[in-house]
Amino acid sequence: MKVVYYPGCTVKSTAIRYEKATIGVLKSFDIDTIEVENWTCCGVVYNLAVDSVAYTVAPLRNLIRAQETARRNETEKIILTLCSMCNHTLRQAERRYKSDIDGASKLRKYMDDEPEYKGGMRIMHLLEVLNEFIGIDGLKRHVKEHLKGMKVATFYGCLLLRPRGIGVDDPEDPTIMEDILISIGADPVDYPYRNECCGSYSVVRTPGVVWDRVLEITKAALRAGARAFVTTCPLCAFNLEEGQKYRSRELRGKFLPVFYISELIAYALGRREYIEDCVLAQIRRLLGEDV
Amino acid sequence: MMSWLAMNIYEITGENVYLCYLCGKCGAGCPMAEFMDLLPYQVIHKIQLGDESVLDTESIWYCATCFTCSVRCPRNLDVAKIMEGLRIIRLRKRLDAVDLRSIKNIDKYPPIALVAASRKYTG
Amino acid sequence: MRSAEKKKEKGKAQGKRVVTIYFMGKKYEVPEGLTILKALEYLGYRLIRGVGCRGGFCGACTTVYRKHGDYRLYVGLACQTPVEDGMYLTQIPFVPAEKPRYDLDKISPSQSVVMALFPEIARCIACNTCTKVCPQDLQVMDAIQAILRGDLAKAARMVFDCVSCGSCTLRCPAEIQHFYVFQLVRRIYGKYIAPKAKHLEKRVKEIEEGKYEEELNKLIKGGPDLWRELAEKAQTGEEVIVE
Repeated sequence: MKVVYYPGCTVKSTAIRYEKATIGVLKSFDIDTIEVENWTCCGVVYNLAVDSVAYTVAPLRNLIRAQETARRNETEKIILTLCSMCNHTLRQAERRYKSDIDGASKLRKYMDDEPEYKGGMRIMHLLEVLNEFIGIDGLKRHVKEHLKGMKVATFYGCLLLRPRGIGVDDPEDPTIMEDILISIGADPVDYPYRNECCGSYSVVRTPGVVWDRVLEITKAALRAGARAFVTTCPLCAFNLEEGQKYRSRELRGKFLPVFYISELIAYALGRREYIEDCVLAQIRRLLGEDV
Repeated sequence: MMSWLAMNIYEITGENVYLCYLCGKCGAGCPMAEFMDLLPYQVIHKIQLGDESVLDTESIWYCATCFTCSVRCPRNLDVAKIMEGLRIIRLRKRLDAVDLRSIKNIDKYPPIALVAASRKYTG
Repeated sequence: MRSAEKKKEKGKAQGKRVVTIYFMGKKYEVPEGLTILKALEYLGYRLIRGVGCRGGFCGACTTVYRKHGDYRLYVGLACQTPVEDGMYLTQIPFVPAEKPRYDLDKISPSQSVVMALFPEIARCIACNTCTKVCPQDLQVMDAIQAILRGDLAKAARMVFDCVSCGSCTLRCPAEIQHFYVFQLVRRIYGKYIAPKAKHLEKRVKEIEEGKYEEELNKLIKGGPDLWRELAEKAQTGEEVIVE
């Protein structure tokens, strides 16, 4: 199966390990990813003004280019996203384009430098692709290296789950990551902050606020017995890692490594070559292996 | 009679602030509540009353647009959108909340952080 | 008859058409076929700003204009763009932009360095206005987006023909200073990313080691007579050795 793949700026740069692991996992199930030709920054976070269409231009341009990539490469009409925030932004833009007739008409007139967006493309986050096309049983059957009940704290963050209709699971009690992790042998813990916001972009203006927030999140995860975080958002990953470093004194030196979900899945499927060396070492250490 | 501010917010966001009956659920669930001077429902109340000092509050800049408030509001008000509406009123007057050239350690941030911050904090 | 009218009459007699242009709001008639720059000088304007190489390379003569009955805004280089009937012209002699200071020898060739020096790139909303206005037909927005994607090499190659005219910078709603960004990216590419010419390095080393000193000195001492002799020999295709 071939799908169109929209990486987003950070997955291609500081979070490239996420892409590497994901491509490896999808290859195991014969899912090929064709990157959108000439993609642009999605324009995170989606601007909520309804009296302006200017900020819908960027995500819509990507939907159009994804549409063209799908047509030229004869892929399924699926746009795969890895980053929670890109997923949110593209879906919000599509919803706006579909529901706002006047706005859509304005956008079409303005964007006469691109082909028209015909719709019909499904924007799917990695978790949804894994759930729908591979399934929990499918994953279970292909596990080669069981994760031996590794206790992990899922961190969904905010934009992956909200608002309703855009999010990939129930915002109050999501289970999609837990189901996947259980099928590969990990033991996801229940703790209060797993579906809440880490502070997101406010790390640029008021980093101290985010580090305090991450401290609370980490303390709760530690109390629940977690030994690592698992996430799908590069900004959450950055905040969780940096926050623990800045609050290491309050955490008494404890540090929960942050994994992208595809890294753990890649390990479980026996695809170690798709995991960065330092991440692989962390996984093996947590499984009690000598590293 | 809608206050000027409420009318402005309605034009920008499509949300009618007068639907809010101050139940407090948004403030209770907000992850940034402990850092805010006014909680989300207090901000909305000020808009209802037409108190324009709400445009000077720090709360709207601590908001991380996580939508926790919006998914919990019993009257289906998009509270996050209303907070954004107040930010937009200021940003459209070029009253930025952040000076991009003065960010400390800017080269440590992943591009997503800079893009999101420039969208939310600069006009 | 005044000289302008005389010229017009002469032009008409020669079968040359005359077009109407508006410069700074004032209506003029100029012969068809002139560039905007030549037309302004034809009208008697002496340009001391907003003019440079006259060859389409320096980007000094940015002109913004509209055409009769057309709402679209056009930008062109005055030295390259021929006049059209109904043009409404404005010269832009200077585009304000401030280049942040950096030391090319000390910076690392990475995306984060470019973003740290020009954080406003993160404001790009992909509106494509810059591309539409570029007189060199460059894919300006795609180049900025390539930088956001981290692909500095692709961006540098895309903007090779940029003449720093500043039209993109003037029109950008996100207030990005494209030509300074591109200058940095081209410099990074040239210094750190582009493959080095090994044969050039080898030759420079040979010269520094003095391999060619003797021959060069003989040539210099030999004077015009020797040069003439050697040049004539070379033209016949014979191998020339300096003795």
